[in-house]
Amino acid sequence: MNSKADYQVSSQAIDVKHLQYAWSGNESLTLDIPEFSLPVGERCFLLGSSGSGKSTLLRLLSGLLIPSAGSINILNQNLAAMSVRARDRFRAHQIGFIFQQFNLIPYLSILDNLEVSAKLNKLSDKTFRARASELLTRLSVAENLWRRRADQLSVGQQQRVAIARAMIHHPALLIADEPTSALDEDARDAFMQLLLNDLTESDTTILFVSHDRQLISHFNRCESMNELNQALAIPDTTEASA
Amino acid sequence: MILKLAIKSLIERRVSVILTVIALAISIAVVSTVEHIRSEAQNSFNRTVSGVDLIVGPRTSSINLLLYSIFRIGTPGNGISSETYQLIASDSRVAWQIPIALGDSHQGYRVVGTDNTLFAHYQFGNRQALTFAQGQQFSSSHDVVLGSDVAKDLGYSLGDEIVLSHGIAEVSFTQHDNHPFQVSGILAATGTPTDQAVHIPLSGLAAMHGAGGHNHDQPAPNEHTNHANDDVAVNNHNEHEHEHEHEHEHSNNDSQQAADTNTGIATVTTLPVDITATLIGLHSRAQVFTLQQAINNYPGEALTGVIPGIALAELWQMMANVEGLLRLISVLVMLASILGLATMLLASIRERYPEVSLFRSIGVSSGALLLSIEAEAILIAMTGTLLGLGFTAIAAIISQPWLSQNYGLYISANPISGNMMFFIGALLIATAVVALIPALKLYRAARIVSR
Repeated sequence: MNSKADYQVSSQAIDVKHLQYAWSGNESLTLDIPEFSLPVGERCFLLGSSGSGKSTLLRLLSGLLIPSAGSINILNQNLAAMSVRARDRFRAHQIGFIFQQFNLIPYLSILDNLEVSAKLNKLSDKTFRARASELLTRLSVAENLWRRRADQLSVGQQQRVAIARAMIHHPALLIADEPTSALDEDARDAFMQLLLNDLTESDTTILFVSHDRQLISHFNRCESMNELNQALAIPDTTEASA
Repeated sequence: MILKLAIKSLIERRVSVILTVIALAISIAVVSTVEHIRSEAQNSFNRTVSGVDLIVGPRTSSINLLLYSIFRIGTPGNGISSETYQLIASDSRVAWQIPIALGDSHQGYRVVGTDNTLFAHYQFGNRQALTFAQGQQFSSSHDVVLGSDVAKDLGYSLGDEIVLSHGIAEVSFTQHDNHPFQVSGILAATGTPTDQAVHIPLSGLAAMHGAGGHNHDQPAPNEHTNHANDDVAVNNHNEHEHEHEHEHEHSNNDSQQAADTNTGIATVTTLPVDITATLIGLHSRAQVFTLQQAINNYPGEALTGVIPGIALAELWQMMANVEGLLRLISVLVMLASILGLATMLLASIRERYPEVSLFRSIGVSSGALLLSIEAEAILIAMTGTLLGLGFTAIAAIISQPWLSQNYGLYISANPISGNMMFFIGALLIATAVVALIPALKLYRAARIVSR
């Protein structure tokens, strides 16, 4: 990794080449992506409906799955070459996840939920407390809720806490999977504002996956699963657009 | 962190967790109660008598004689005659003997007719002698020496007058109020059946049972002559013994001495009443077997001589099968409740899938999730164990007075013994192993995350 060309490669947050994936026992490919890359700091909207293979792609990108063929480099690390434990550690340290729902363990308090991520990143108690109260305050989660069980919060509150959970360890890569689908329009706009402008630093790479085209305007780059995933190009009439 | 998550997760599933904990606690309580009573009974029995080389009573099984003479369990059979007692006293190998006459009670406590030899020679535990908490030994036939529990439970103190009744029922129709007794001494607690005994001198017992109105301080020597038949037997015996034992002159001396000091209060050799058994201490323990054999073969009266340690060993041997069976039942009960625990956890795995998926996404390893199930299982097992041991301790405390009064059993409240620690260790290991079933199921689910 001494040459200039290599340095350029290493500045990619996501670098996917000739990626193929088929679920075991399944003949046909779920994913077939010849190339997809995302430079560090870029914010990309990935348009995809359910069944487009986006969930599989996200799991491959985070190292929960390993590709059947091809390579995935995340932050210059080849996930397929790592051990299972190393991938878990890598995911804990480098990646933040926000899902459509079930972002929080329902029986843990907000702080306990955040603490799980903090502990995985070996944050000291002091650092964790400071970071948690900073994030939650900026997300306008009232302090009297912090020790409440997560399942006592409204969906909007839960999604805001989910941002805090995903960002508590300053991840290099933030992956959001339909985080606004459960929110109404006002809450959705507020959520996007918080996520993109107030909380993430400029060097945080964001991969935002949604079927909601209205959100495209928040991003400077847009990709579509239909174009990325060659497995979908095979005539398949069951594919429905959102 | 895993422990904290396990605790919160258990609280979340509290209803099924509590039921499982209770099931475990009950089985632990059963196991530890059985084990505790077994070990404490042995301990209690073993420490009840010490320093007594031979127990002599009428012909019966050795265990039976041991049980009623020492532990006051069961009903004594016939007595042994005064002549036999004298004969034993005259044997050169015998250092001392304590006469025991049972059959009466006072408010549910056994009355033990004896003499001052008891206080001088009876030992319990690790060769500890009886000591007086208050007062002193018998000095008249109206004296009574109380065991510590009797004094405490009935609220007697020195100088109190006591009326004894005949028979061992708590309420008796025949009350011997013509021969009242006065508390002369109260023994220090021993943790043995002695604490439950009301000790009176044999002369007092004789007076109580004899025709009313006679001189109590004279231990009715005329009663002695009633045993004409026994006299013949003893005479026969004396001749018989004479052939191979050279102790006749000794015996004469002792009789002479006994006649001088025979007040029926101090050490007696001529008994005012028949006794139930006699406890013998020897000059040399090595002679115990020959003396036992002589007693068992004595033609004058059907006698049994019992060496306490050997009779106890026989008793434990007899109990060994029952113990084994109880142990087996305990193990099976415990196994059943561990399986119940595993079932409970297994049923909860499916509802954990969403959280497993979330934990995996944020970087929690599959191994940590497996450990969290193991932690939950161990936490349940430990809580159940502590609760079960608590049940046992409470049961021991509650049943202690009843056990000591009815069976002469003194058990401690602490159910944790070496055996029990072994049992608990085995339980925790078995729990960890059986909990692998749900834990591995969760582990596999964690490896194949489906969201």
